[in-house]
Amino acid sequence: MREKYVLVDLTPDLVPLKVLKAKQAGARLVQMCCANTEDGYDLLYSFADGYHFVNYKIHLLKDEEIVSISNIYPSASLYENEMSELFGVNVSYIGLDYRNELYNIDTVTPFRPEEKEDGE
Amino acid sequence: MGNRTIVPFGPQHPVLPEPIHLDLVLEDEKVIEAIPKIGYIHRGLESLAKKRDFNDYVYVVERTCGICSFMHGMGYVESVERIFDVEIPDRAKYLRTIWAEMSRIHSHLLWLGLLADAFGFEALFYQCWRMREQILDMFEESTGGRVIFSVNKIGGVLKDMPHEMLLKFVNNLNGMEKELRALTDVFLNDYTVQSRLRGVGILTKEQAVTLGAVGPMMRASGIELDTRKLGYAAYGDLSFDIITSKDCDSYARCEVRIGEIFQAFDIIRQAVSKIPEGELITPVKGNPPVGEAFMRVEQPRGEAIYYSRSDGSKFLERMRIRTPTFANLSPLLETLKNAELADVPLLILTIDPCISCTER
Repeated sequence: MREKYVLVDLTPDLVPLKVLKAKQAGARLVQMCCANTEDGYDLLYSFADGYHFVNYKIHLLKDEEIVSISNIYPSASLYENEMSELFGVNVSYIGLDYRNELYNIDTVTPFRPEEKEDGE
Repeated sequence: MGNRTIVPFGPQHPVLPEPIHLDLVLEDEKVIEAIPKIGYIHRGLESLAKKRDFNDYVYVVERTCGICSFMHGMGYVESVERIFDVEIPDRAKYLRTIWAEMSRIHSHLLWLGLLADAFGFEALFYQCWRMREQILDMFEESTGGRVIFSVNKIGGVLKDMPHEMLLKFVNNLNGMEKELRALTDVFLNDYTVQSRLRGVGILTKEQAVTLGAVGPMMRASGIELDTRKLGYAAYGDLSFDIITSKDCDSYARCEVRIGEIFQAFDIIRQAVSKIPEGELITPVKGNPPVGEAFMRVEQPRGEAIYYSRSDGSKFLERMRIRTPTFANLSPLLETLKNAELADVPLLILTIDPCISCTER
């Protein structure tokens, strides 16, 4: 049996409203992640109300900014720091902002999308 | 207001088998705030998905963690199977379930041993880990590996367990169950254990939801939620209750994990009695089509999320693993507030932290 979940597109300006509604409905923040695209990023915010799993996909251009949701869900801070440090997403007003020092790594961040290599 | 000091905790600490750092802001002996720092062993495993054939990547993803290696492999292949829209054979679903529950027993026994060690019960630690060895032996017999199994493949599993082996395993588990009752009685009824765990590290139901707690950490706060109820692998065919506690403290987390060990014995017995004969794998040809899929798996430490995105090539465009410990970091910081400094190591242990998973 496969889980049926919702995946909907969302514009960046609607994020605070949707997240606030999710919070008011008693949903928990399941995860936030980022994927590189040609012109920017796809951000994926996932919420679960009981077993109901809802995912929002937000397309963000490279120089666009997105407002942190850590004032609504404090646990969002860690995910937002990760997106900011490893992918270079411009997230403003993060509750606990590590200023790109969450990960203690030598490699220069943010990681840039790389050319794919041929398989072995 | 007492004197405020900052005490660095970790990255190297006797209670932590893996490195994580916390800056503990103390007022006298009381923790006011804890600020985490991670990234000491970040390996960039998600990024490797862009350079490894999607079939080979299963061997990378199961190296995310040495304890949940099977479940990481299973979560990844099930997310890619969703993109392919392929249904795996029923026997493979049952085999995945049996190995997953064996992983749960082994992980919880490991945690119980570490907990016993943290409050100074050395003999109890030895006994828990001795019992865990029996599960590792069963893994070795059925997969050839004790830590990394490499039995998951997109479309099914690579190895079978003959009927005689399954019966032998059930017999072993029945013996273990009897022995484990005596051990878990110490955890649940001993005065010293209770004095260290009862009323310590409270995480209320509301806090657990707001902070995104998962797994036993969440269920110990009275939330009845278990991703296995979604029915992935063979869980949809099996009957089990969700183990919860309303106490919301460290003792409740211990109680839930112990309950889940005994539940895992029962799930394995059910799976062995119902496992159908048949193929192990549905052949999957070509590259995954353009698409994306989420998969949620209930690991021993809680819900893990796998997100795969394919652009039609043999390399995935994005592979995301949200591990349970990453989700449980924020609830941990909440439980540390107002805790005594002496309780910090035990509180960290009660989330059953896996830093390898968190770092990926």
